[in-house]
Amino acid sequence: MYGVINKSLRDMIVEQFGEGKWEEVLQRSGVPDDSFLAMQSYDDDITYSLAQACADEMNIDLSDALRAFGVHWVENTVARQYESLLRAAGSDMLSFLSNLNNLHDRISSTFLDYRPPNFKVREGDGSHVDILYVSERVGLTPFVEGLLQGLAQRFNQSMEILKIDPQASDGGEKTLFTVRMG
Amino acid sequence: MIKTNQFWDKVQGLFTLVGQIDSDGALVRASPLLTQKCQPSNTAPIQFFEYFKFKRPTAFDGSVAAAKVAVGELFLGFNEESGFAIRGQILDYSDMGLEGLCFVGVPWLWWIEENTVDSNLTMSDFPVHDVQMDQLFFMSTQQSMVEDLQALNVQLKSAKQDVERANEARQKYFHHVSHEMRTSLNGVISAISLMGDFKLDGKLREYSSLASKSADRLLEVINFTLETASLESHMNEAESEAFQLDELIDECLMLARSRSLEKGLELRRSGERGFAKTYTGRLKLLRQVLGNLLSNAIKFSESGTITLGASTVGSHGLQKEMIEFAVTDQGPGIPVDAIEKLFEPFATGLSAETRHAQGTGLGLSIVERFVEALGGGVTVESSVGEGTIFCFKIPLSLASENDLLESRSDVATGGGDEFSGAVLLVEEQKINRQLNGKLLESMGLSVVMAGSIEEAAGLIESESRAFDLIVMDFEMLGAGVVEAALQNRKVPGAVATPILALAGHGDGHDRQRLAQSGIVAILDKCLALGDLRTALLAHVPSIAIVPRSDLARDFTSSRGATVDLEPAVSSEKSAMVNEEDYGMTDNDKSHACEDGSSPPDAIAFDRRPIERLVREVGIGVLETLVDKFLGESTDRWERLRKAMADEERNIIIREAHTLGSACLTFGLAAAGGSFRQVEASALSGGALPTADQLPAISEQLGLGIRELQQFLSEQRLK
Repeated sequence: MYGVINKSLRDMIVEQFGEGKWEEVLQRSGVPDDSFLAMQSYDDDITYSLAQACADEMNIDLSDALRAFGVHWVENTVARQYESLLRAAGSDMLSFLSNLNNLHDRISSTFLDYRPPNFKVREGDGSHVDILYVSERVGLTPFVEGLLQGLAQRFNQSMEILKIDPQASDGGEKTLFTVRMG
Repeated sequence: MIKTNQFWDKVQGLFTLVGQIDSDGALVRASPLLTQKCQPSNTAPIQFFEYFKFKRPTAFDGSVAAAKVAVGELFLGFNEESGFAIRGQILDYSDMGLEGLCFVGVPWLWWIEENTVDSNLTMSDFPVHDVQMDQLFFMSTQQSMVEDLQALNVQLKSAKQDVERANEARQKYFHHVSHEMRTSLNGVISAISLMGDFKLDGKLREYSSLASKSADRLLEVINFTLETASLESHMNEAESEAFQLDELIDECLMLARSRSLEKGLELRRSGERGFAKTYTGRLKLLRQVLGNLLSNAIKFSESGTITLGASTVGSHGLQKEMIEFAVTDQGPGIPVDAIEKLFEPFATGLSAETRHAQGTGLGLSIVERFVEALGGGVTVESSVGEGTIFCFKIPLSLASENDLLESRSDVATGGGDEFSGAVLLVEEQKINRQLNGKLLESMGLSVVMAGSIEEAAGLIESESRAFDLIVMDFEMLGAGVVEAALQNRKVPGAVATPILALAGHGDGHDRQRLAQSGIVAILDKCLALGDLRTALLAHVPSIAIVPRSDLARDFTSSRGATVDLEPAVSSEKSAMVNEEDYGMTDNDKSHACEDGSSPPDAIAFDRRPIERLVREVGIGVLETLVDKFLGESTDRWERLRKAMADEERNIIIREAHTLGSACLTFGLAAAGGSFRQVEASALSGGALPTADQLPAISEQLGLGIRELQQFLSEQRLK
């Protein structure tokens, strides 16, 4: 994953718990240093190790840590650094999610190692929306859950996740989110 | 009008801004986004080329005719009132029988982002092939990258400062501890040496000998370690300078000559001769490497020949040559299993036959590290019983003669090397020999030292290269040994080797003898840099690197004195030494090193001589010499005391002379003067001085030494 992800994780811990806690996380993770550059691609294991260390250090489940990170990613990192793009990608949660693949496609032309997830949005009978998340990576469904919560807050929309349904996947991860939008 | 609606739809699939412009410049048909942004209320058609101000094409005047000419060029236009901007091209369909022009393009994102608060643009306003959104993402990330690098830079600066502070603290601690170690160890060595004056039983003598050897070896290791630490701390600072390879090799051989002679080893040059080329490289590192390899070869060889040579073995790019250096010896060789660990610190490759040589095991470790820093690697070939070859190849940049002159000039004007040449320094007293040797080296001269006239004569006759100058103790000249050696060596017709004599004020100057001996000047035994420089410029100008006028100007301005620069070698005039020229200032004279008497109110410690030495040789060298002085003085004091008790006039004269000279060198004015009185009294031929005088001198000496050590501590902290 790109350094921007690892930096965001670090920022979340520092902002919420201080520099000392991050040093403990870093030490616990075994990652030698945290001089991440946003545009440099790093091994996925680094991100996973840091996330696991965050969870261990705060004595919470990894899924809870990833969920919190998803919210932080939208509310802080993306909003601070990519506000223009965020605005261009949509004015509400559903239009944003519908444009997300298009956005990822464009990013892929600049970030050659970029392996983005894919989102398919299907509006149901009016009471719910199905969002199918497909990724080459495993274990990030809780992170997406946090992303959805963060997006709902950004667009001032109420949202309730009705169901999280793991789907069969040939490698990677596939999850169907059923959500109700306000 | 473009009549084919199907074609119009296709174009809109590729571009979000499409507009048809008639021959008068009116926008008569527009895609939804263009309509929304330019004429949302269905008013009369806008004049397209007037509505937008065009930044590109550069000379575009807004007319339809000019637009037709600019077909195919990039159009960048903006309307400040609406906060909208366009980016695209003009198409001319007239050759297809269609009327007017067509604009195809997309919103100009950068202008809009810069000039509007909320563009209300979405991704669907940009076709997928348009790269502006990619650029926006890239630039956003790039900004983040710049911030990352700035943050890293701050961290690196902070870390560097931390390291520098820690290093400084470590150096201070290191210096302090090493000084304490050497001082204490010198005390041990002196005490053991004094034990030698007593008749010891067999076992005690054996233990005393063992303790003495161990202490000497420990002192050697400490000194070596300190020198290594000093060299390594400056390794990265070693700058490139121009040099001639021939000169470097000769210089290294000359510096190693006396040690090889002591062991009866032949030392000569191998490989190519006549490296007329000038190179640039990190000369200090290279010189150290060659010196260490030669020193090693001499240390471990008991017989045979040692060679140092260099050869060109290829080119390395256009401006570089690969030079291979080799040092060979016919020593005992190194066992195969020891070669692998040879370059590890404290590995010596010693076999049972060579263990007595007692190398510290650090020299080769330094060699390897320095050669790597020079861009090469060291190899070693050895056969037990036959000898060893150390080789390394390094790239050296070719340089011009101008580079060489510039380099030497830089060094000279930078307060470093001002002279270049080989000097034979003959001085019986070890401390003065080393101190004066350092002074001569600090001026850029290669110094070979001899402790006796016999050794000096041997060196004069054996060196492959004649000495440019001889600096020797005035008293040693009388024997004629050195003069004879010089005469033997002299090439008919060549200029005689000039001699600078070092004398005390009490020494009588027989002018006739001076002239016959080839002495060109007499300097005080405690050399001062300024006096030495003046004398060299006046009498040995051939070894000055920079133009004499430059140095003369510098010196004249600093001293405010006129200096006679006319060379006067071997003439009576030159031998008639004028103390006004070469002696010290009046102020200096009141604290003269060789002043024959001690004024009644002489202070225990005079800072001025030693402050001068700190400036001229540096605190590190000075500390080493002071340590040696303190170590030796205990021994000499004991000999003086014994000689007084036994009424041994010659020993009293010698020891009092040496102690007085050394004391005055290091600013121990009261004690130095008292020793001089003892010497003068013994020399007068009258009643010998008695040991009753010693307690008072001891008190002066103790007080002076305490103040001297206090002074050195202050200097270290600086």
